[in-house]
Amino acid sequence: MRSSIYKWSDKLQVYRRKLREFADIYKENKLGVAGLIILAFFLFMAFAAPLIAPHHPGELWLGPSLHPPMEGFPLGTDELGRDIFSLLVYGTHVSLVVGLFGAFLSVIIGSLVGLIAGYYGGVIDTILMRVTDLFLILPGLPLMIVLAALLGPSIWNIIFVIAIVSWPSTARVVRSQVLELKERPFIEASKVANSSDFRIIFYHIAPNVAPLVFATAVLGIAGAILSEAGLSFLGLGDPSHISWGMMLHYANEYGALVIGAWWYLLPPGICIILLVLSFVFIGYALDELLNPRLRRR
Amino acid sequence: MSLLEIDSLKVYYSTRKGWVKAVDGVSFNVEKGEIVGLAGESGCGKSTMAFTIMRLLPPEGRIISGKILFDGENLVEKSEEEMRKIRWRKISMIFQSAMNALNPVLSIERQMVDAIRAHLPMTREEAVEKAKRLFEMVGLNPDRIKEYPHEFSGGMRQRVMIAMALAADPQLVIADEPTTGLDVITQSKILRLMRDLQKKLNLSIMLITHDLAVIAETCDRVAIMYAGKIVEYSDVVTLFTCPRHPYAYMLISAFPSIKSKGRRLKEIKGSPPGLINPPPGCRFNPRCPYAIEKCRVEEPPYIKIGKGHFVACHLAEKLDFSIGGSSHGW
Amino acid sequence: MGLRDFVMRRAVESIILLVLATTLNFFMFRLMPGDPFAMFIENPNFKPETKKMLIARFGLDKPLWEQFLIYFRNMFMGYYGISFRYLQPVSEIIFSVRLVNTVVLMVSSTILSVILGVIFGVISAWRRGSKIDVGSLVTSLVLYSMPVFWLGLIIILVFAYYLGVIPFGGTITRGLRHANIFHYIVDYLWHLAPPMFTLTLINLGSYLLIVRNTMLDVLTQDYMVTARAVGLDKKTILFSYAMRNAMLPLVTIVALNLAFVMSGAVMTETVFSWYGMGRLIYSSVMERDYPVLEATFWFISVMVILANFISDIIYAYLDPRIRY
Repeated sequence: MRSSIYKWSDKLQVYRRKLREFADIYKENKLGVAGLIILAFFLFMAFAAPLIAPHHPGELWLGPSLHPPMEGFPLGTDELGRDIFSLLVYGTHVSLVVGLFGAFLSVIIGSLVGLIAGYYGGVIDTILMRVTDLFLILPGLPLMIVLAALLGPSIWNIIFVIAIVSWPSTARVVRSQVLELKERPFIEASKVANSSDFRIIFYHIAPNVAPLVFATAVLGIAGAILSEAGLSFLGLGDPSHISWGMMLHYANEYGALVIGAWWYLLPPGICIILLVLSFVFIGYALDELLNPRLRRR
Repeated sequence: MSLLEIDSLKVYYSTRKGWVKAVDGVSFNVEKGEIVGLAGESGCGKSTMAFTIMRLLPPEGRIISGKILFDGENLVEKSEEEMRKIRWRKISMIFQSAMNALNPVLSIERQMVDAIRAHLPMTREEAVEKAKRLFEMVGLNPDRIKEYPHEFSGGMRQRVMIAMALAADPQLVIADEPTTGLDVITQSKILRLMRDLQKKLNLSIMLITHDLAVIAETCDRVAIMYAGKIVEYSDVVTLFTCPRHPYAYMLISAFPSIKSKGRRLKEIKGSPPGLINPPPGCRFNPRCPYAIEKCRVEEPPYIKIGKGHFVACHLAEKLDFSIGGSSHGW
Repeated sequence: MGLRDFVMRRAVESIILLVLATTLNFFMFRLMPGDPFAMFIENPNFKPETKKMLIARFGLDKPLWEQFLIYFRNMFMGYYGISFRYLQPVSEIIFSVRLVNTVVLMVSSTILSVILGVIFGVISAWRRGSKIDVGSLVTSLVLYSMPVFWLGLIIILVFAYYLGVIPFGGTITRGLRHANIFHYIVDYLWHLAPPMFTLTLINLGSYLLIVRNTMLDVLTQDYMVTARAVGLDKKTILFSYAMRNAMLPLVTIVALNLAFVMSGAVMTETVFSWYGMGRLIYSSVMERDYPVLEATFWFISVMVILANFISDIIYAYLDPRIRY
């Protein structure tokens, strides 16, 4: 008995066909489309940064300190006389990189844990699940703060810290899917056919878990961006790469509230909201599409 | 006048791919005090019938045309508020899966009292008394009304459902697959209970099922549904002794009999058609071993072939499925 | 399973979690590059006697496994060492007004978030697709995408800087002599309002979405069809049949969200200079006051684990399927 639907190569072919169908349905979800448009906008901003931004973040004292928008400075200046608009454009890099890598790493770790715990069960499952519970219960930000403080300010540390704190939710989701799939006959058949555990997990189970993980991962990117912003705001970010969170950190440090420097406070926050929203919209659209229960009944 | 009269009812579901013609021109009656069975394969539209009568269709379901006359009044035209007064009080339902049909976080007493007091002017104490009496009537310990649904076993839960269905003294009870999923012994007990209650309370019952054995044991009359249409409608004895429609005949023959010696199970090849684009002509024609050219082109008329016996088949008069008849064997 | 068995099982799980959390805490801080001693005693402001005392109390001269056990004992007995900055026992710093302030902030904002979340979540689900539903959804999504600290900053900008109706921060107006206790409470509440409001808004979205989803789920259940079939009136159906089922998971959700509320509190307290445990985490990181940092983090973990345990018990009590 060959359950060919569940192998990667065949699955890809099915995917291609389904992708067409999927794209058609997705187009109808207004939020999802809006999300994609916003994301495209930010991706463009990130890639074309040197072309769009009139100045480089390293260029200090181009203008007076903390000046509202004026000629040549559409969003005013920061405390070091830099052009805020340029900072904003370059800040896109960090948010996207940390967001994507952080979520990616988190999903990888979480999926591995979920696959192994779900498949092997028993003692391994119990141990892994206790650890997962622990990280789920512990407050994320304090833990991230402590780890970031201990490890030092660098982009890779931030990515690592975010992944460490957010893998448990993926692990949970993956594990419950695996438990469900484990009972299916095609797994039993694979075992009877003497497939190795590795093969069963990665060739048979994983492809079926992937769609579910994908929707969760997209929301994970949103969370990662917010985490990076938070850590940077607290001063734990990487000072060598300007990010929106860091802009707000400096704004707060150098008295933007005291002098009412709205041009410094509003733009970075709005960018964060929009970028995160785009991923949330996309994730929400994916979730509605993949979870038939929530569709109109 | 019949208690329930369905006249040329059409109920379609609106979906992305088109209209699903779940019920496509169905007519039959339920008289006072009789048990009418509605039988057919999964997906033939029987449950849709049940929900349509109660006007409980989901938003995608629409009554396209036809009448549902209950005691002379057309239910299709009733407003939601008018239906609310009719539901349970005049027509009630026994659902297929009691575990899902009952609210898990409320006690049975609570749910029954709510049902009773929604329609009958009683105090809470009176309603509780009534609930207890209903429990006794269905063979359950009346003290158990305070318990929760998950504390009852499968068969007992169906009894609870029956007690619930009788809470407001309805005239018609629609039983949607009441015994599916139960073991045969429990099944037989439930059916016997239903027959007893029917006699005692002079109820009318519409029994929906895919199991012809249940029909044979319980019903007075039966309508066989296929792909949204009724193909044969008659009293039970006639149906089982000389059916006229090939599908009805094949259904009856498909059931194993204790008496037949080592006979191979006869299956009906193929599967029911999708209801968005049913085949032209008679819907059964792709699977019918007796089909002729006319069957593939023209839809058979629903005609009266005997006293209280209706069939929809071009060959109805020519086929003879009675015992010893000429058309056996396919 | 029965209530008693459930409570026992959860109690054991919570104890395991407490042990794991303490272990994590122990190793996490030992990871610090450099000398593990530095964690507790390397502070120029400490007198030699203080250092000796700490070495003895924490067994810093003993092998690692012994330190581990001693650590356990110390943590649960409330002995956390001496603060680098304040030169006081850390326990005095944590178990003070700070704890009260944080609890007040978290509890008040959670209550408000839940109430608003339930109201709008239920309305949204009941009237799916309507303007209220769409409006609630968009609002929740935007609030979810908003960094807590930014919302706080903007609120201060608008209401304190431009409108002058709220204070810039703190728990009470500094230097003000309060006429009586009533005056004090009013001043306190006035200072509590902005951070509480901020924290409420941030968490509102997730409660609303979860309530809405749970309600939608409940509304598609078979027993809701039965309720309609029985001819019950809309009010009964909504409140007794639908909400009763939908509210149950809320207890668990509140517990699960505690971690997020705590994280939000850290940010909110920092932005509004609210004198609480959250701010303590931030300031102790900035000041490299490791004893305080470690103790605060541990204490927060314990608080959250216990709160989860209690809410699980409450849930078990409310859900008849577990009770019997």
